[in-house]
Amino acid sequence: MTADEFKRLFLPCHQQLYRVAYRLTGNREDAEDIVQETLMKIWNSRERLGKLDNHAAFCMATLKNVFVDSVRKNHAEYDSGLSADEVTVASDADIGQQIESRDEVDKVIGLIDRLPANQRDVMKMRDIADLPFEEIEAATGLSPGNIRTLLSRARKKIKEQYIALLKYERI
Amino acid sequence: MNEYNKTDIRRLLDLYYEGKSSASDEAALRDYFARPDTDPELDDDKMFFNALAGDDNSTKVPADFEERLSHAIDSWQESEQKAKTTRRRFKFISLRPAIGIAASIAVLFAIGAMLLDNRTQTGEPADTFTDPMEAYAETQRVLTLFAKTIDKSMQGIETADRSQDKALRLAFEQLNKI
Repeated sequence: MTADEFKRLFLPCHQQLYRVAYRLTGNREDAEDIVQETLMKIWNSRERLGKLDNHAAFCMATLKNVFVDSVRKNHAEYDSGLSADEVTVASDADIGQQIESRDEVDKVIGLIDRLPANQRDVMKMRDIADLPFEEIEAATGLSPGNIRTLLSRARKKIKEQYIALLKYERI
Repeated sequence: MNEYNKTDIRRLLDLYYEGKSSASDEAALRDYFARPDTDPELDDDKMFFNALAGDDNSTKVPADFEERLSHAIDSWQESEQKAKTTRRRFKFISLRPAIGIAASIAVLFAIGAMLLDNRTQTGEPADTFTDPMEAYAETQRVLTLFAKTIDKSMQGIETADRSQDKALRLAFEQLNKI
């Protein structure tokens, strides 16, 4: 497959990939990196792909794998997952200042990025990348019980902070 | 879940915030909160779920991103082609020293054979002359023969290189078909 053929099949997916990558990474540079890495991975294996029914779905699955790989590489930084619950409970004003006026997606991503690494990654893999628990276990090395506990804490905290942020903005 | 009732939704929300919801539970919640006619008491949850789900068009893709990706893809193809050429050239060069050494040994044998032949024909040692002019003429003759032999050997090396290059090219073509 030549570069031109590859571009015709896979380059149209770049916008959708970027939007999901942005929600996963929270910033433009990392989102671009993850999209480029995704396309490179597909390029390097293009002769083994065979006929694809849905190129966009394949690209998305590859992007999620790339994200999971990055989490897997970094999961050594996780603590036990239950004791070091260092969510910064900022005041409403602090949240309003630190999360600038962005669209709703950016606000939520900004809040998620402020979670401890283990909670942040588990929530992103489940609630943004929509990955099954088995994949999250494999990527993080955490037990199912730990994952559910982290998810519970993260979801409650993010909802609380997000609603507080919206109320702050309405003032 | 085709019919959503308040009790079911609240139960699913409890499971969700406890981290105990399944993929289908979460899909049902996202589906419910995407509707316009949701329970007003769940407005906060609705805002949270919709923000998390994201609006596909709300995130702006950098205007030049597609062009940069296109250049990157072109560079990957270029790198692959260069890598193939380098592998072929490496194989080409690596046999030269061996061929050169073999050619040199053949030349030495040829010179030795010529000298021996010359000695046999004249019946006297051909490596000593009393007349300097004769010695010079003989040296010129031997050097000329040596140069011609070297030239023939180099032609042989070039022929071997061309044959080798052709063989490698055919081999790569066959490998690429696999």
